[in-house]
Amino acid sequence: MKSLLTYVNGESFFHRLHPLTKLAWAVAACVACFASGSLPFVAAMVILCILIAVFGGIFSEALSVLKFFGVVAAILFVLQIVFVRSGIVVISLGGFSVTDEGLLAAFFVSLRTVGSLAPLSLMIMFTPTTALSAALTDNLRVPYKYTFIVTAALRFIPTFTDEMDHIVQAQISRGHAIDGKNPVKRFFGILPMSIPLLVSSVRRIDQMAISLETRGFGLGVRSTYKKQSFKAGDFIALAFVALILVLGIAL
Amino acid sequence: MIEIDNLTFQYNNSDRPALKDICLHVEKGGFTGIIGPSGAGKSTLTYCINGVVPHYLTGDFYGSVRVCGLDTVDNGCMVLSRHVGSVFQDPESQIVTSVVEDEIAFGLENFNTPYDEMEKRITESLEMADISHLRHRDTAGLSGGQKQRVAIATAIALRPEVLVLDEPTSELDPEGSASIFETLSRLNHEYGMTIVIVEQKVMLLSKHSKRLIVMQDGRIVLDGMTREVLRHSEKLVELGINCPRVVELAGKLSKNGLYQGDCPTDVDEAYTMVTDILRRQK
Amino acid sequence: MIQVDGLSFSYSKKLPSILSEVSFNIQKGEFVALIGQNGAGKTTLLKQLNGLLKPTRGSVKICGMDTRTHRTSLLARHIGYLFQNPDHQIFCETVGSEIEFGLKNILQDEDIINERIKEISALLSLGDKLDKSPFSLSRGERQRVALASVVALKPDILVLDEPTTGQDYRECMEIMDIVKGLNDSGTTVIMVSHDMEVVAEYARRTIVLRGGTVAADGATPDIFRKTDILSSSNLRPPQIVELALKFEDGFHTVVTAEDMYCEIARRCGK
Ligand SMILES: Nc1ncnc2c1ncn2[C@@H]1O[C@H](COP(=O)(O)OP(=O)(O)O)[C@@H](O)[C@H]1O
Ligand SMILES: Nc1ncnc2c1ncn2[C@@H]1O[C@H](COP(=O)(O)OP(=O)(O)O)[C@@H](O)[C@H]1O
Ligand SMILES: [Mg+2]
Ligand SMILES: [Mg+2]
Repeated sequence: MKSLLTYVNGESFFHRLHPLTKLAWAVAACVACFASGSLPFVAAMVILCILIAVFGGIFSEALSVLKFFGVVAAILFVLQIVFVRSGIVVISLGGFSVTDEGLLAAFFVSLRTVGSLAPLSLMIMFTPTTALSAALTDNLRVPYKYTFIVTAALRFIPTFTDEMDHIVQAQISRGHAIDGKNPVKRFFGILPMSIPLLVSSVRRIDQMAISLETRGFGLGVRSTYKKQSFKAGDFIALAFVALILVLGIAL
Repeated sequence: MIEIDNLTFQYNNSDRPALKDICLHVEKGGFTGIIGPSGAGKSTLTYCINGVVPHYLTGDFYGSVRVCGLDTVDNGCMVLSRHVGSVFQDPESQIVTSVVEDEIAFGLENFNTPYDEMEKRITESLEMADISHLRHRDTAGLSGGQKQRVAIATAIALRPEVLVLDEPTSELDPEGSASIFETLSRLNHEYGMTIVIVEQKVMLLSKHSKRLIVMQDGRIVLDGMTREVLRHSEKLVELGINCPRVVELAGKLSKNGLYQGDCPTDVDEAYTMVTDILRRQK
Repeated sequence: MIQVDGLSFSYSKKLPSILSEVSFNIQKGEFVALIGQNGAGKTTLLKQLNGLLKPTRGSVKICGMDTRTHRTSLLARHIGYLFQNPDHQIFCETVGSEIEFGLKNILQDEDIINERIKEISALLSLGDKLDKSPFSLSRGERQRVALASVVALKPDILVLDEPTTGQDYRECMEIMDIVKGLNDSGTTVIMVSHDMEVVAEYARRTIVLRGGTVAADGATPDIFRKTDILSSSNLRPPQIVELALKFEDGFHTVVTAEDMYCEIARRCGK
């Protein structure tokens, strides 16, 4: 969960690609998965993501992300089964029936969700936030202020998840029964805990603003330390990305 | 280097001044410690030196603060940040990027430093803060002490003449705190950097600082050479300040007529004191 | 009261052990300090005590209850845990409701609850702040509120993770004196601290944790005289002990300025 949206250090081919190449891939893969009506294509995209994670040397980190997507997919799966009512009834439990079309649709939707979100998450795991913001500012002329907000937000995600862990543990320790078995109870027990998280976040952000102020942030023209250029690998990768986009729309 | 004259400051949303009639002159190359109970105005004083007050945190500002010849009212934080490096209490909220070298580059980029110069400064400041080996590490995975060193490296990359630190060791263990102080002493001795530091750990501070300032309720109540200030043990206890235990011991001994001499400030001096007392008795 | 037996723990199978073969017993009414450098596993060990973390091997028993079979929220009646950062604990609108929050989890009767709130707020000198928002208080006061909400449950055991960090000396003494008062009235206290002066002044027993194992365990004055163990754990004895060790006899069991003063006065025949 912690590494859901954080950079994982490494030296692989994917790490070295230009941030915009990776961004293009994330967007294209997402669009392709949604545009495609073909189950095999979407399944292939999911497998491709797993292969990329393995060859990029971040498989163990990606696994925890996959777990998270697994939960999302499972929820969608159940919803689809419940709501799709046409087709042949496969299982029937009391007044409640599951159809073959429902199953297929459920499978497709959950796979499609994973297939479209995983590339984005992979991109973030392969790209240092500063490199991404530099690329957006230098190549796409997005004002630095906006890219900075995104990079800073990404940088604080692990801090916040850690903090949330502490808060929940602190409440359990004083007898707040949110460590029970019932997930609904657990969810509503955890909800008010967003207040301490909010308070400490506001404090952090205030402190961060002061720190930025003393480091010349927002002065105007900036230079870039990690200027990246497009290399041969990027062009090959981009060609591949275009192919995926075309396939996704065609199939 | 730092000239504060008759400074009174009151935050906008506050009903009483956080600083009252402060006069403080700090020489180039000094190592000045600031101690005092919480709410005394220590952090506010550091904000006045790096220009956060009155530019970012606003309020009623009377008197004058000049740092490296620059008036802090006329010159914003940005201009001052080339002269004053700042390190704060919580290392977590000072780090904005995910890789150590990017973090140091961040400030340099803001000042539009050319690439070659950046490369040189990053290497240099990592070395000065003793963390060259962390250059390519992930910032999220560092320990508190390492993060605090990154914050120091980040500040000194802009080559400031003054380094202002606000309780930089509060989250660290004794060894981690001591090694931060050793790094600061080195910056002070080898590079002549002027150091101003707010710290609760009086015993550690007194080992390194040349000058000690005690604040209470917005005022400077004691100011002098570290050893001189520490000798006012009664005053320190009255202010609720943690004075070194050997000072406390000497206080107890002299109160009960067992000792009349100068108050010791470290273990060696205390040893001399105790052996004298015991010898005299024999 | 607390039995830790052959406790080993790692955060996941792939990660190395953070605690290995830790064993100790703590009796009712003891005041124990747990010291060691950052990353030695102190917090991890404390979380084992109230079941926030469960042993990978070995066992932890609190008042006879195995932490593996009892939920943390139930153990909370017996063991109170004060986290390092009070802001992780506080979230109610007023100080009063903050103290009430934990109580409501274990008590039903309104009158008893109100009685308890009064008692605890008096004990921690928060009586005049019950209607205030905890977020408007100073860090030292917030720490007291957090402590109040834990102590309100009247636990037999109180676990404190660096209770004095980020506070000035006076606030630190206030917290420690409250804890000492609780200990005097029978509460067992286990405290992690980086401040050796605080350890010297309050803890009767000290456990040194080094790299996830117990490096030393004994009476505080004896532990502070094991300079080799301390230095290999990146620790230094308090100033008075450093002074005492300069003398041939090491001044026996002296650890605080008060001890030292009494001993000198005695030797001077006073
Ligand atoms: N941003 C702020 N707005 C209003 N009042 C503040 C602010 N920061 C500090 N203060 C007040 O100024 C006084 C001095 O605070 P501070 O400088 O933080 O003290 P110290 O660092 O010595 O603990 C306190 O009374 C505090 O409440
Ligand atoms: N949630 C966690 N997951 C994995 N490793 C952890 C976690 N929490 C702590 N650790 C590791 O366990 C070790 C001991 O940490 P901790 O118990 O917090 O030490 P201490 O409190 O003595 O400073 C450290 O090396 C730390 O990196
Ligand atoms: Mg402060
Ligand atoms: Mg800890």
